[in-house]
Order: sequence, then C-alpha cells, then structure tokens
Amino acid sequence: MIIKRILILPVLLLVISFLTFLLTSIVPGDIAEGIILKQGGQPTEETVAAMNEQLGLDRGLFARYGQWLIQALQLDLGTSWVSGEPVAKELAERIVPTLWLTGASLVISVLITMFFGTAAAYFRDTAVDKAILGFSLIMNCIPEFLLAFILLFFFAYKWDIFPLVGYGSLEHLILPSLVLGFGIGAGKARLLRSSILDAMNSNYVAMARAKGLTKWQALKKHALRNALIPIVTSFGSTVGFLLGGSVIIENIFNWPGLGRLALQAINSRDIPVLQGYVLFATVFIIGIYLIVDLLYMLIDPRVYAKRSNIHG
Amino acid sequence: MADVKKKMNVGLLLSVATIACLFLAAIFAHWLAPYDPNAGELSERLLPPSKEHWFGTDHLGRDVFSRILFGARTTFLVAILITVGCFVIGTAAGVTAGYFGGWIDGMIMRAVDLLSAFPGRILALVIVGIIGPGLMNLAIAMIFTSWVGFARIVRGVTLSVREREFVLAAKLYGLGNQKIMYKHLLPNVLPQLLVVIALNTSWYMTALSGFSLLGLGIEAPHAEWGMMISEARPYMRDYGYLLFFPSMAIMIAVTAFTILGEKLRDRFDPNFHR
Repeated sequence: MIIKRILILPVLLLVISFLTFLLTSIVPGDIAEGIILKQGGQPTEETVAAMNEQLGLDRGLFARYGQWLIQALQLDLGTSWVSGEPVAKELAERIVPTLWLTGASLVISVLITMFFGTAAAYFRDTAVDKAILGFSLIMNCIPEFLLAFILLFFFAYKWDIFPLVGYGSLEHLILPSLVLGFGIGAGKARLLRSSILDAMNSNYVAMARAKGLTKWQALKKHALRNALIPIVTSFGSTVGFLLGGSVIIENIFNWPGLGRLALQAINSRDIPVLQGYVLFATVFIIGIYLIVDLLYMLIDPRVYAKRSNIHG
Repeated sequence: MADVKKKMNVGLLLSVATIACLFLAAIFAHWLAPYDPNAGELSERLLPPSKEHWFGTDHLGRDVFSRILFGARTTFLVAILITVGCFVIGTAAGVTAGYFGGWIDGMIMRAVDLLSAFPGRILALVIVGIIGPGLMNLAIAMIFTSWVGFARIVRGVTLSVREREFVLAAKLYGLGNQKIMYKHLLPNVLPQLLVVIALNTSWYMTALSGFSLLGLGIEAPHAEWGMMISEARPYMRDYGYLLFFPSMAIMIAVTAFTILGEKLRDRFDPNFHR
C-alpha cells in the first residue's frame, strides 16, 4: 500500500503536468496575443511570432514538455510570462503564508475534532451528542466562503475585533484559520465519533470494561487509539489540499499564499506559474502521504507488521 | 426503535420536499419571478426588503428575489450536467472494469487511483483555469475530477453480483455481455449511486458558487448564488440582506442534499452506522 501510493504520485505528476501542457495547446485564444495586449503592445503578425518564439510556443507540444521536464528535474521551473521572475522564486515567496494558514487551521481543526468527536461519542444519544451532531452538520453544509463572510461581517465590520483582510500579523491569521479549521474539524468530528463508537463495540473494549476500567478510561486508552486511524488518513488528504493553498479563503482574505498565486496565474494565463503550482502541490501531497504512513506506525504498530507480512 | 425510524423519515421527507421546491422554483423561474433578474433600475438600487421587492434590490437595482429564483436554475442546471456526465462515464468505466476484470480492470482502476490521489478541488481549479471560465467548462472540469467515485462504487457492486445466480443464469440463457450489464447489474448499483449523487450534488453546488466567487464560474450578468454573494461583498456592512438571502439559498440547498444523501445511506447501506 505505502509503496503503491508513493509510486503512483510521480506518475500522477507526469500525467497532470502533461495534461496542463496538452490543454494549453488546445485552448481557445492566442496566448501570445493575450500577453502582448496585457503588456500594452500591439499584436501584429511579427510581434505575435516573436512572442511565440520567446515563450517557446513555436515548438511542438512534446518538445516543450520534454524541455520543461528536464529543467524541472534541475529545479528550474522556467520564468513567469507575466512578471518575468523565475517561477521557483514566486512559489517560494508564496509558500510561507500558505504554511502559516495550513498550520493554524490544522491546529484548530484537530482540537475541534478531538474535543467534539470524543464528547459526542462519550455522551452518545444524549442532548450533548445531538447538539454536536447538529452543529457539525450545519458547519459541514456551510460553504467555507459563506462562513468567511459571516465571520467577516460580525468580527470585522460590526464589532471591529479583527482586521478585515490582509497578511502580516497574528490577528490577520485568526479569521481565515478559524474558517478553515471549523469547516474541516466539524466534518472530522462526525467521523471520529462514529469511529470511536465502532471501537467501543469491539471485544477488546468489552474486555477492558470487564477488567474494571471506567467508560472514560476504556475510551481514552483503548477505543480512541484505534478510532484515530481513519481520522489520520482523512487529515492527510486535507493537509494536502490545504498546502495547495485554499484558493477561495486566500482570495477572500487577501492572503498572499499559493492559492492566490494560482488564481492570479489563471487570470493572466501564466502557464509556467500554473505548471509550477501543480508540481508544487503534487510534491506536497507525496510528502503528506509519507508522513501519514509514518504516523500510522506510531499509532498502530500492527499496521507495519501486517504490511511487512503481506509484502514478504 | 419505532421512534428512530419515524425521525429518519421526517428528515428524508423534509429534504426531498425542499429539493422539490427548489427544483420547481428553478423550472418555473420565468413565471414565479416578479421582475426580470438582469434588468436593473438604478433609481431603485439598494432598497431594503419590502412588499414590492421581497428580498430587496442589489447595487444595480435588480430584484434579489428574482435573481435567487434564476440562480436556482443555474445551480440545478450545472448539478444535473455534472451528475449526468459522471453517471455515464463512471458507470461505463465501473461496470466494464468489474464485469470483465483482468487487465481491463487494472487499467481503469489505475486511472481511478491516479485521479483520486490528487485533491479534486485543486485539479478542477487548474482545469477551469486553463480551458477558461464558464458554465460548460466548469462542468467539464468537475466531471473530470468526480467520475472516479461513481466508477469505484459501480465496480465494487458489479464484482459482488457478477458471480450471483441470476447473472450466471442470464449467461447460461445466452444473454450478451451488454444486456447482462444493463438489465441485471445496473439495478443493483442504483441505490448506492443515489447516495453518491445526493452527497456529490451538495459539493457541486458549493463548488459552483465558489468558482463563481473567484470569477471562474458563470459570467455576469447571469444570476448565480455565489456570484450574488461576491457582488454583495462591498455593500455587506450596510446592506446585510444582500448577503443574507443568497447565503440562505445556498445553505438550504446544500443542507437538503447532504441530509438526503445521509438518510439514503442509512437506508441502503446496512454496514454504515452512525
């Protein structure tokens, strides 16, 4: 499993980056013309041809892709068609804000998941449980941009507690990471609850209870540990997504992260930057999958033992 | 136990009724809407909700209630487009993979693995970004990223019923592969697919609004809930209702589809317990 997943991602990387190249060659509208217009020039036959040559668009698709791939392996992602800066540099500048946002929302969502998930499972079928389930259903159904606007409306406009949008201080970080953290945490709390309830029905928990452990002790020491396994997986893919930059939230809050860079690249048809972004996001996801698999071994030693058995 | 069952039906009924209402509103938007959704009267801009304009008017003097009705049309249109696309591609791929097995199965499932390893939102964004904004392009990008869920389920069910007696009997009877697939396998898959369709629809609706918000969805002046929210943003401090009504529309639609999906899952999937 672990090997399969790590092997599949470079293939995915190749497929997606090639797809990006393929799509750019069939998109309507002339890329060179668009760029000339954007730079304030007049698109004539000569200037378009010159721009095509400058961008390397006069060569075939495979030639372009091959060159990009060779350069990418040497960490050279080309230069932005819009700013003329190296793509790698632009990405590197944007990664820090995205990391901040990812880290903060991850902390919030883990706290929410653990607190609400265990509380709902412990107080199963009581008012506490129902309140938590209802709350998380609503949070699950509110699109994140909506939650962002609601929080902005109250905390920034009405009560003026937090700054409106922007980047640079801890206060700027609070609202966007609350939006992401609550959205993610609410969904995962439901998952954790049902996962704990499953574990509480198992023989080893019955055994622990028979030994004289209280419900809370059995939950904490035995059920929770096993219940966490599917949660860790699901957090893995969430972090992968967050590291790609949450485009909507970053744009609402003017957060200068990767997601905003991606949208800017899309709006200006800056293909090298978009290519670099896809590459970056994929590399992150590979990294996260690796970390998740390592975490598995920490939580559940059986996973490692089982896997080494299967693969000889 | 009886009590629990009754409650489940209430949730199911409520969500189905809500979806039916929204759907009817979308179909009959032309008759129901009191005003032209795209025609603004600048002298009547930013009016609060009143008898004439139930939900008020926006910054261009357009009637918010009419725009929400037409927004429902856009939302359902996109959701149906994506669902049909995913259904056709996903079912074809899943049944083929599960029924034939072997290298065909291997090929299809590798493609499914590849696509599902990558976050769908990022992929959809990149695709829309390259092929350009617009309703149709958005649908294409979403189909491309979400048919895999359908394929996985269809394949699983196909695998499990392939060896069952009625399929073997049909084979012995001399029915062709295609006939067996559509007459005997598909009915078994449908209940589970309904669950996925309902749950996915809520995500399509969220995604459509999100893309419109980013300027990558539907183009102005067409009404769409996400775009209405985005347009309301500069005015939200003093004209909160501009934000409130489209937000409620999105939330109600998304919640209805989520509850429908979960109730159907409770019903059709005995292994899934909450």
